[in-house]
Amino acid sequence: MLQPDDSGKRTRTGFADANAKDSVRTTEALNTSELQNRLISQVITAFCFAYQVDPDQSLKLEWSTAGVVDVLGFSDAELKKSVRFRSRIHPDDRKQHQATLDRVLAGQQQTVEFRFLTKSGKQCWLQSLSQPEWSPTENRVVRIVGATQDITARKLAEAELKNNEERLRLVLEVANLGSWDWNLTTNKVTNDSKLRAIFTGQNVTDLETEPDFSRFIHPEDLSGVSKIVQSAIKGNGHFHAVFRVVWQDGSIHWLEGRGSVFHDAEGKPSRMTGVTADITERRNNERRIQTYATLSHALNRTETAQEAGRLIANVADELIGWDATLLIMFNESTGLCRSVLSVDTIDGEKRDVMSTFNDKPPSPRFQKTIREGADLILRNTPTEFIEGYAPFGNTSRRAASLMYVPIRDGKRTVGMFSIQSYKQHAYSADDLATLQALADQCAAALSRIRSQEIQRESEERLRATLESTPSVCVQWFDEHGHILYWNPASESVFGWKSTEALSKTLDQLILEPDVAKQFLSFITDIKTTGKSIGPVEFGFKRRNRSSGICLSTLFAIPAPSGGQHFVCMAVDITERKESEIENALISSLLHATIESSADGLLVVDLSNKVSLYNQRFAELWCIPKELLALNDDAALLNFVPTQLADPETFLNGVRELYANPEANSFDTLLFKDGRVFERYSQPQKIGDEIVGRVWDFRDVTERKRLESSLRLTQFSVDRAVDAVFWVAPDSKILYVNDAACRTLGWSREEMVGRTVPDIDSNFPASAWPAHWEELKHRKSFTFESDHHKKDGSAIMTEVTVNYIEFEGREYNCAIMRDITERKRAEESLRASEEQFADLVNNIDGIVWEAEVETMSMTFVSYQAVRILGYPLNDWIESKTFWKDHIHPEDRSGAIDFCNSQTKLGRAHDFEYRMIAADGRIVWMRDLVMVTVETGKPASLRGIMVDITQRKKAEQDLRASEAHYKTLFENAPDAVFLVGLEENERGHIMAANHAAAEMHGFSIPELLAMTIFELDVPEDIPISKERMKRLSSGEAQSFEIRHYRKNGSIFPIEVRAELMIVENRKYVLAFDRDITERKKSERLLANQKHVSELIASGTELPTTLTEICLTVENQCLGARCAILLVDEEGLRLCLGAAPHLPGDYNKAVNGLLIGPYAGSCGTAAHEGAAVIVEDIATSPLWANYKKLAAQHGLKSCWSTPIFDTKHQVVGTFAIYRETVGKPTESDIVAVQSATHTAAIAIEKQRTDDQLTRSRDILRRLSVSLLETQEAERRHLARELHDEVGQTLTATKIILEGLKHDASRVPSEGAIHKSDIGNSTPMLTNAVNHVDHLLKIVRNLSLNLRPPMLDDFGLLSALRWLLDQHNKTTGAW
Amino acid sequence: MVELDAEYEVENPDPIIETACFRTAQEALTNVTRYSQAQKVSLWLRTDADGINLIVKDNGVGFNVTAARSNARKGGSLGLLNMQERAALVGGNLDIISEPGNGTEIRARFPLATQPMSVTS
Repeated sequence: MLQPDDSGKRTRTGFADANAKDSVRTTEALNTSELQNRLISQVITAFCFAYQVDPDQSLKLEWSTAGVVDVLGFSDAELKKSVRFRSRIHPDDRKQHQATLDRVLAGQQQTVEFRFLTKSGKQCWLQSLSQPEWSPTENRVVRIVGATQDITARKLAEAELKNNEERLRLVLEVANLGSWDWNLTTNKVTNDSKLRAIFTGQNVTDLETEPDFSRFIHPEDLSGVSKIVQSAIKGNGHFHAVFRVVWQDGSIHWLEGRGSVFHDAEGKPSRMTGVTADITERRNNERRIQTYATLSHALNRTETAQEAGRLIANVADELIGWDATLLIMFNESTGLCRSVLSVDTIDGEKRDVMSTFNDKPPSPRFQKTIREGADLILRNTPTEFIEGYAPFGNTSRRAASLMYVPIRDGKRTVGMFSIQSYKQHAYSADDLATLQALADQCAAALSRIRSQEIQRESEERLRATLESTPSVCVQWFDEHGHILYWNPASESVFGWKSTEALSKTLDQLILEPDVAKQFLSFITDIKTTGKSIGPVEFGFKRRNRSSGICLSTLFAIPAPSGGQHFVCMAVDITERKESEIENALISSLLHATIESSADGLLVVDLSNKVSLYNQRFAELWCIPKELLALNDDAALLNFVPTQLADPETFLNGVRELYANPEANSFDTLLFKDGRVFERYSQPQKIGDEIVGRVWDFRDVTERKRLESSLRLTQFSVDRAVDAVFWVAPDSKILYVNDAACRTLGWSREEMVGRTVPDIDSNFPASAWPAHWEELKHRKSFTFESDHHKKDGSAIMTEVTVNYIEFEGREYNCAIMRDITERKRAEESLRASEEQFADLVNNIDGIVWEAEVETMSMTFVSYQAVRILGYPLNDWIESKTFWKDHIHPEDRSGAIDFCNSQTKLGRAHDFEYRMIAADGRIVWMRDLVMVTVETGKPASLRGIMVDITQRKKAEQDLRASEAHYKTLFENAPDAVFLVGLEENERGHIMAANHAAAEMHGFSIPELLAMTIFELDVPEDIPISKERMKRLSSGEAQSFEIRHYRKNGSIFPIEVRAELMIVENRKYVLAFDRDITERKKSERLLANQKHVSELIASGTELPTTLTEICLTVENQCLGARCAILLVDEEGLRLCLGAAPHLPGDYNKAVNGLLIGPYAGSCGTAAHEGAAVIVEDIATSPLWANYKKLAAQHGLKSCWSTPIFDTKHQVVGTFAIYRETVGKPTESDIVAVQSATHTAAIAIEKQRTDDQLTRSRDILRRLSVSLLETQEAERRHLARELHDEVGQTLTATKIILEGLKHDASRVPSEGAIHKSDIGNSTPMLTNAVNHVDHLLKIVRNLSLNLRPPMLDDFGLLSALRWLLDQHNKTTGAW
Repeated sequence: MVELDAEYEVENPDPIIETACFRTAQEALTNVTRYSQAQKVSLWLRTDADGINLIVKDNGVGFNVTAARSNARKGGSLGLLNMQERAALVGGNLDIISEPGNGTEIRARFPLATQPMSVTS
């Protein structure tokens, strides 16, 4: 049909360009071919045109080709008649269009691109090629011939490319990321200035343009990084490394790099592209949090104040920083200070310095801190006066910023901690709060250390006292009577050395067996009663076998290691005999029984007096103690009804019952506060006689609540959105809910009794039994089905069937959902996707015809010359011209495809590259029609379109997109692009994998959502407000909470900026999940809170309860219990368990520690965490699982709590009502809780020990004094009574003798000489006895002046002074 | 010559406390006699709402308290320590104020009753 055109051979002459003519001719020729016309219109949105130019340079359209309608929407006729072409050109492009036209009119060939508003109002991009036709006669352009094509698609791709690059730039800027692209073949790294700054810490200009980045990586990390790089290249294609770089200034920074490897056509790795971020600050923050979190644990292990001080100072240095620090402790009893830590920076080095604060009263500075609390001082000038400030260490320099915080133990200030900096304005109020928090943490440790020191001192003092007591024997025993201590007095009285006595029993030393037995029985008594025994007499044998009697007092003291020791204080009273023992035993079994009831019990006698009640009764009714003390039922009846919803009925009931003493009653009481009690009342009888009435109250609130919740459940099923069916095995419908009726249009009555085959078209009755078997086998599954409604119409449904056995019967509980709408939506979506059309956007088409067999061209349009540069004849003459000039890589593929399609007689199109005459590569899209004659392909006709520009744009776009995608995907944070324009405000336009993963949604799911759907409801208004601000260009950084797909809420930190692309506004947001950080922060706050509690002297149960509540808050559904190891280390007793049932706690209290003692007893026994995921099956719980089951407890994980000596002092347990094991966050919470609990328990234990030790001291000393004084009193009496009396008698006898002697001479001389000589001797003797009497009396008085016992202190003192003045009368 | 300035009014005096107080005065006077070479000694006794205050003051030679105390700790005379221990044992306290050449003052304070013992079991 078409003949080869010869115009290619012509030379171009003048402006009357032949090309244009040829083009016109070609087009005209094509116009004649309906087939090809269709081809063109199918493929190319383009048209050709010719304008006639008048002498006045006005243009008149001569003709345009049919394609004009496709491109502009206007027909040739419309353009000629009414359309003003220029007015539809985009205003911004008019100037350029006019300028181009001017140049054409001046005789130049021009191409111009401009935007044009089509008839339908759509804006499209056009490219026009215009050729002037010069008339030599008129010496002007008389015609313009040209072609216009629609290049909108290409323009869009280009815009998208620009858009991408813009996005990329913004992403990098906002995320503070440096990007790089490493060509693995050339080993060149393309990078940006940001990356250079991150790696080197220097400005771009200071560096060579191609820096060797590995040079900056920390030597220790270099090999690690290169290993990761190698494995990325060889292996999974992903690069992720965290490493250090050393900046030129020597500082070390942490970087995190991520990247992906790209492969070339042969699958060899060719490039690696990625991003690198400076994460130094983040790491530092994490380390800080870590430091802070482990602080309390570390503090717990310190043993001296200085150790604790140094630890806290180091942490303060890390968190805040200081040049000098000072820790002073204040001793209240001496009123003096002691410096614990004193460090200053001297010659740039932190050194311990001499403190000037030792053994002095608090400085004015310290006093101010005690008085006014924490203080922050910032000096404006180095010499500015600060009240009470005393420099220390390097006194030549004055600190410019100072902070002082008190160290508080309870309400007392026990010390002061200060950090100081030589830098001005180094500290803020926040820092002061941090420092105070540190001081509070430290206070608990310091107070523990201090208690321990005081305890040591008091123990030393006690020992010294016992050692130095001369007359009182003190011995110490364990419960089996083994001697633990034997003081020097014991040595001298019993004759056994301490070294001989220790660890023996008394029967081995001084007691006869039966006495020893008695002694042991005393010890047993003391153990059971807790009372001391004595004074009591014991007969004993000394080492020299002489026997004696001692008066002993026996009592118990707590042993240092827990348990009890027994002390015996004895005075040798061998001559004395007195004894008195009294023992009392009180036990009230009845009382205990009543108290252990879970019900409130009240017994009222006939005179309306309360004869009995238990504590539970008082608790249930919240009755104050004073009221109970009255024992008056009338008073109780006045009090209790106020709590009831209907007091009147209650009172009437009570009156009625009192009026009928025989009556029993059972009723329910409703409380104003929502509680519900069951009341049971019956007469109290002794024998047959009624003596009163018993009231029994039981709190059934919880049970009632459960009952009503059951009713609610039924209601919710009825009102559920999904249709619910209960179906019997024979397919009969037993129950349907409202939704089922609504969905299918039947009433409930109509539906019940029908069968499934009645309503489901997919289940004929014959198929039912098989279905039922499948259901029984699979228990539950979901399928799609069709149901018919009452009106006969069908709906598509999704049905979930559940096999249920209930009370021996089988059911199918089927849940059905109408998915007709969903299906329809899915259908239309698919349809619209299929409508997605290819881009066709170039007019540069070569029209051709060829033979089927050889594929040699029989016709080629002139465009071929323009596009590929070969003369047309070459195409025709060489039979294989087309094949030869296809790009080698595409050749066989293109030819094979074309051949195969041709054989099938199918029209087809394909893309391939051709080599142009000048070596360029030209992308072609070839559209081929096959003419079939007599069932065989006869000829090929087609059009080749130059799509090089589009391909290039696409390739660039792909490359850019790949780069963008790499960055986007590799960004460590979740990235969202959120629309701000009217119709897409809040819509998520883009989201990366990190975002999807973080929220649990897939990316497509996210793209169908607005960002507000992720916000928790209360944050949405703030979010919208933020959008507004962002829209005005204000960058925002904030914390917010987001939902995950599973409904859980988590906190994120967001950095968001405005991004403008193509005049459209977006928000680019980077989200970071800060759950862990928040958790750490909360953990810290909790620890701080507990430290404060401990520091402020809160009682242990309160503190432990607080710790439990904290963990329960953190771990959803956890119920915590802290059990404490008792003193013997044998049992666990309840420390705190705020949310475990009282009955359970009561049962667990006193649990024996052992290898199979539940989770806690076992954990305490093993000294290691015990995790029981299922109580019901654990052997550890064999003895307790029933108890646990009663209270619905299914799993229990227990962790031992250790003190500083690594002794187990308790256990921390989490109970749950579900079977399972702890999560990572549970473990973290428990760790923190055990640390804080350890501090609290240890503090309490040390305090207890201190109190106990003081108590022991007091008991011992008082006994000691009493024993001493008793002994003195006894000696005084002995002296006075025995020695004194004997001496007096002697004196009387002597005086009698003297008297006799003076009378003797008258009676005879025989004796005179003898006796007469004896008178002066007798006088002398009497004088001696007198003197002796005086000494004995003085001794007796001095040992124990009787006036002290008879007339009191004042008289005794008077006597003392009197004595004194007499003996030292000199003054 | 010892002067007594005493105002002592206590209901139901605790014999243990009274003994302790008496023994303290006794020990103090013994020390005065033995070491102080004092010309004048005064004994001052007062009671208040929650305790007994006893001051024994002399104008003797005095001594270095710190040195004496450390001497006592090392096993020297236990007199001073004994007084302090005795006071501490009944829940009181005792201060010794003295300087060489400036006399000695013993200040003791006792509670009205020994503190009740807590029953430990």
